[in-house]
Amino acid sequence: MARFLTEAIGTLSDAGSLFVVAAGLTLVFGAMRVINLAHGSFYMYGAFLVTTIAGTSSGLRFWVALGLAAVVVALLGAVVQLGVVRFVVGKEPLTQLVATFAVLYILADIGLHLWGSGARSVNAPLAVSGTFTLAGAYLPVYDLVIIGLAILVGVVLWLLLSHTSLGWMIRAAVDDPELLQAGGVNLRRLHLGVFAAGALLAALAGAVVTPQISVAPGMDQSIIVSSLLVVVIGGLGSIVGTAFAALIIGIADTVGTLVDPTWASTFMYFAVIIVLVVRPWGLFGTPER
Amino acid sequence: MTTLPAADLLAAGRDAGGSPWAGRLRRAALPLAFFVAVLVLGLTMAPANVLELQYAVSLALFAVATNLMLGFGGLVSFGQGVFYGVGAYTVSLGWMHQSLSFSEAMILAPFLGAALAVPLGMIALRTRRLYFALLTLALSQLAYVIAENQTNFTGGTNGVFGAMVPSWLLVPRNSFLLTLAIVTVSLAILWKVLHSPFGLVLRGIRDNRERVEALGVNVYAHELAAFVISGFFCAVAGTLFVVYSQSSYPEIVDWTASGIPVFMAVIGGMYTFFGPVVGAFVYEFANHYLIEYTQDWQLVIGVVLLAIVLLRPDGLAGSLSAIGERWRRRRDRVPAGPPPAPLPPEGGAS
Amino acid sequence: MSDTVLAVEGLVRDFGAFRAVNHVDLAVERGTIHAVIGPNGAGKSTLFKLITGSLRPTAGRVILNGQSIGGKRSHVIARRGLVQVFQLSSICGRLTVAESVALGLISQRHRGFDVASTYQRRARDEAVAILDQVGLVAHASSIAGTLSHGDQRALEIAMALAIKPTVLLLDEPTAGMSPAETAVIADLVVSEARARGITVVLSEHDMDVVFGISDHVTVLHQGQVIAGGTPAQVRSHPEVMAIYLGHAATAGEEAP
Ligand SMILES: Nc1ncnc2c1ncn2[C@@H]1O[C@H](COP(=O)(O)OP(=O)(O)OP(=O)(O)O)[C@@H](O)[C@H]1O
Ligand SMILES: [Mg+2]
Repeated sequence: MARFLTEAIGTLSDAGSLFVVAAGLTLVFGAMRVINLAHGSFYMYGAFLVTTIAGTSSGLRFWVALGLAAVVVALLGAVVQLGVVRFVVGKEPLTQLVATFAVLYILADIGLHLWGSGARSVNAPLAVSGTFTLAGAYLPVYDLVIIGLAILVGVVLWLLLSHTSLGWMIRAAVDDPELLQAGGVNLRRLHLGVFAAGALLAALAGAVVTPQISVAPGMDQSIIVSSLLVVVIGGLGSIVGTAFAALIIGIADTVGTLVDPTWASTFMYFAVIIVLVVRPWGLFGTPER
Repeated sequence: MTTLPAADLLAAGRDAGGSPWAGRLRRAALPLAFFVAVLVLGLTMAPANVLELQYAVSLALFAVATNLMLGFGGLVSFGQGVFYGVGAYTVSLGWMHQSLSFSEAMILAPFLGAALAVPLGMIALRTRRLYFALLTLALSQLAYVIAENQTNFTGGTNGVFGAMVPSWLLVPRNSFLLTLAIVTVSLAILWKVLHSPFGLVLRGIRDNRERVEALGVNVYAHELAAFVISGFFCAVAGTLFVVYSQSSYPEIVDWTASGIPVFMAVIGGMYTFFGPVVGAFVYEFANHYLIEYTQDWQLVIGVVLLAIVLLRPDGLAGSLSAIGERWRRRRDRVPAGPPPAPLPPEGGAS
Repeated sequence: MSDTVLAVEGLVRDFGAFRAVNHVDLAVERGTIHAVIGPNGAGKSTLFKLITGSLRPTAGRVILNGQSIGGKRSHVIARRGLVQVFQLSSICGRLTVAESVALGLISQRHRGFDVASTYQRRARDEAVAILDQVGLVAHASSIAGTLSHGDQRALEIAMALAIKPTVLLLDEPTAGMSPAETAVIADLVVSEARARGITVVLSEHDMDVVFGISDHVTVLHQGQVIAGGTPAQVRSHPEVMAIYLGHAATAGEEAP
């Protein structure tokens, strides 16, 4: 039982942060049909900004850094949208992938200039570090922070998308852009807002995991791969699908590690392959036609 | 509507003005000149530079083989590194496990690449467009984690290094000539394939899959064939990586490595046969010299990629041939004769 | 003496709760021109897609030459001789006009997997002959994507003819065309049908074309067949008159 709890909380926490990043990716795709390969860069920038702002403090300053990092990266997202992404909306997948990959390269290089090539780490605020016991298991308190954030993000996004006029606009932005513009909605501004929000989510995830990982260049490329797996399994554009898929990937990873560590990292790829063989457009996606 | 008799039209076709041989020769002139230039350069340059040239030549094959799917089949694969890796690892693991001689491995590798492309293609081609790109990306990353973690078999993170090529290939010129020969033959075969009925069907699928299917073509089977042929020649390119570096390591199969031939094709021009060759040379030399002179090679390459994909979507070769086309049209307007002018659009088309 | 080449029996297609095609029966005689008409949204395009297999029917059967083709993949159906030209213009934009037709010839000769010959170039003579019939021979070397709308439609018909269909399905072949272009296409359809014995099923909003060229007319309304017969019979059918008089304005504006 204790063993199970430890694994379960760890899995949920991993799945939680993955969900927050992937939700940003899928939100952008849902509103403008663009897959942004530089999404992982926002995650990395979020993490590095926290290391810069919070420094070695283990108090309030961490929370401030979290918020500040998210806001700064949202602004960066707006810049990327205005400078690059808005020109590839509605273009072929290849154009979008190459253009956003170029952004990934450019941001990676700028990141090297800003933070160097070494690894950095951050301490969690004292209030949420350490462990608590439940049914005989020692569980990291900080995992609960991440899980809590993921749930919060999930609920807010779900409410926003399915219960507000903004959510309706975001969906209509793809299905019926003419109608939307006829109704006086500024599509460009909508795209800008959604893209910045997507970047913000990535940064938030990158920022919140800093106490648990070593922050280093290259994390942009590794997180984008897992987030892509998640959004593909979930079905591009679906927040609910993304939540399910993040859990699937998290569980695949945990089970993999328990079964055979040398094959562990392949499990999530097999999960993707199996899902796509059965449903080529993902669990909650709609066939492209 | 005025219609020309069929016979006139044939004469006014592609090989206008001269025998078919003259036309063929004119079309072959540029590639031939390029080949001779590379050959002469390779035989006269300093050994260190020859190696770089050799690498560019092998990447040209990787880019063209990838572009068989990308520019001719309309299939954006971010997974061709898998087959490149099969090529490289077949040679180096054959050596490490003492199970294959160098020449056996060189011959076997492309067939292994093609054989692996069958199941992977059958899976990946069930998905379309963006999903296909992302699924192939996942396959590439899967190959990467396998290469990285199956340490006993693959050498793990460090990969395989060692004296895996015969000693005569350690002479730069020999190694260069072998690479050039293999790439030239491979490109000739790919040229033939793309200028066959199969190649035409493939381009039709790229432009309009539904239409071609409605003409009775089994699109899935043709795409699979393209995937397998591409896998075969990507593996050939992979074996040449070993000839170049006497090593294989996981980074040659990950998704960014799979992206490189795609970027080369985009830079050079994916709608022409030789565009990716140009792209491979530009990319590789830029890469090589940038690393020497600046730390910011990622920045520079990123900016170049952005500029091309946003401003010149047909790539360098596309831009060149557009310029050539304009020049030819201007020249052809000078001599008197039956005007080849296309008919004006029918009046009143709304 | 009836010789039914294409029969549709009890065809149904639902989109969610909406029934776009509702128990449609159709019998097309060999060698005739058979028009399917009906107001916008009547279900004509859906019916055509069900017949060619690009949409799956909810219920019902499609029989070509006495054999059921329900559930077959669309390229298999095309191979059996049933070829569709879509409502929205649908060409291979980067191929030349001659190459586009050669594509059909390659398909018809089963040479798609031929990687070693230059058959596509040898097919050019034959392609040019077909282009001659549809009046596109002067454009043989042009890039298909640069043709005018009317020429693109004609090219689509040429591509379809290249695979020697027994039944040709044309979904609004003259939509968006000038009267002159419309006349060219109508003549083309008639002459191809008569000269090669091709059966033509077409949907069309231009009533002059429909009543001018077809042997048989079926009227579709809200997914159901409400009338069928010779042009004269259909023209005087009370229900049809009601619908078309009611929609007279819209029906007139369909083909500008
Ligand atoms: N994929 C789809 N999903 C949902 N509804 C559809 C779909 N395709 C068609 N419909 C609906 O089915 C009905 C019939 O459409 P269809 O295109 O067959 O009409 P049509 O007779 O061809 O009309 P038109 O003359 O405008 O071409 C319409 O109400 C349309 O909205
Ligand atoms: Mg229709």
